[in-house]
Amino acid sequence: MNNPRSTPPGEGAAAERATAERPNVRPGDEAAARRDEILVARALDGDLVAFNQLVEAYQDLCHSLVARLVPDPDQAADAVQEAFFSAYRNLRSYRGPSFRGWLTRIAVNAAMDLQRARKRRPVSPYPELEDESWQPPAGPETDPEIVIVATERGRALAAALAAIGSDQRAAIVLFDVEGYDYAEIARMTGVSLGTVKSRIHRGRLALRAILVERMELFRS
Amino acid sequence: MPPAPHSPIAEAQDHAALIVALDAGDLAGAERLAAESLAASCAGCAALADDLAAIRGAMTALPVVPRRRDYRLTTEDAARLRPAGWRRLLEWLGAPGSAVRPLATGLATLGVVGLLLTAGLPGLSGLGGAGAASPATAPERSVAGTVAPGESRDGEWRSPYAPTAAASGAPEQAPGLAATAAPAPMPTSASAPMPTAAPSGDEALVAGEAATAEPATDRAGATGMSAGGPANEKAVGPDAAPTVPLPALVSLVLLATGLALLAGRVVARRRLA
Repeated sequence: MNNPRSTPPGEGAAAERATAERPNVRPGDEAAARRDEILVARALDGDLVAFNQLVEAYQDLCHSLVARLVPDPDQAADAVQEAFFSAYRNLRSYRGPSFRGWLTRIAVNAAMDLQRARKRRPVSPYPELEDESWQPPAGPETDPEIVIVATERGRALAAALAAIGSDQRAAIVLFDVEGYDYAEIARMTGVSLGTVKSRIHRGRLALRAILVERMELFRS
Repeated sequence: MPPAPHSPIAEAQDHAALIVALDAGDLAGAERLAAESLAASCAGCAALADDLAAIRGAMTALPVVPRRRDYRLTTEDAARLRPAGWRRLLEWLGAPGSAVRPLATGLATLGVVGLLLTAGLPGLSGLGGAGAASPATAPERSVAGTVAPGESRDGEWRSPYAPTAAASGAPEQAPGLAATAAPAPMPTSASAPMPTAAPSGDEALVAGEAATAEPATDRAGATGMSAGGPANEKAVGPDAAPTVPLPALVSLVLLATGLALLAGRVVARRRLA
């Protein structure tokens, strides 16, 4: 029942300290981190090609993340573009240790800013339901029934995510989908660790309240 | 405090909060045991726990949203985004490892040291204003035979404005004060106004009082800028403009520049963070 990626209560402090020392640097990312540092140094010297290599390395990640935080695909794309613009503009303020973490934080902030602006200027509800390019995850199952159920499940879940608050959505996506821990999410979103937990708990209850009539999709 | 009345809704919310915390793995010890027993004994709680686990599992299997745009920057984007104007200044101030901090600290230190040295050297001191004569300079004036404001040559207190009245030829002036309007034997500033009571000063010269009356002439003329040396500058009247020696002024500028750079760096780092 327990989420394997959540911090065990007894080891919370140690895990938080470890995360604080090396935020967003996971095992296996060392080579990428070294490459990023070299590219950042070249970009700081005015090498646009080096910066665009960083963009190429992380644009899928950023787009995937922001597209889940911002339901409207066009707005999500704008938010990602703005995030890369912001990263280029503020590259001198990057102080390490992880360019990926720094860029992710910028992307999350761009998405959150867009969500706040969207609250002031409401747009049409979740158009991703009509997005033909939105496909279920590729897997060994090719049974049409399984594919259909997976598609419906994904759409129902995406619609439910779009219906909850943007703060809760961001916390849940970062935790459940992107795999960040509480401390990393707190740092990215600029709130306390307790607030992150609260948002995740409340967001999950809200999702369940929305999906309670369609839970058969999730149990099959 | 009496216990809160039992509310089924509040109890259900408490149970839901407990179950969702259990699902997230945030409980330990007695709380965890309580949540697990709740999930085992309450059908609604068990259903909630199952649903949360199912939703969480589906969440991890959410498909990757395909990217339709290439986010690489063009040269036009780069040119547009390159910092300019105040933004460039902010970046220079707030850049990590920049020379701004040592430069600012050095300037501020130089300013403080300069101010301390200036205040410590009597010859350079002048920050106290015209009326703040230091005790060390008072004997010099006495030796030179000068008269402090509000002090007559015979030791009696008089209004600091009395010499002016004397210089303008007031009929009730004392004979000793008449000499204060005598022209200075030392060369005075070209911009200094001529004393208005020159004839009476000539009389004082005849009376042999000129040598002792020279500093008071500056007070009477209110020039405050005579070339009579620091002691004379101290003897300027209360309505004269205060003078700041150049070393003190330079020290103040250095200190202000250093502090401004430090403050600018703090602001820049906050803006860029």
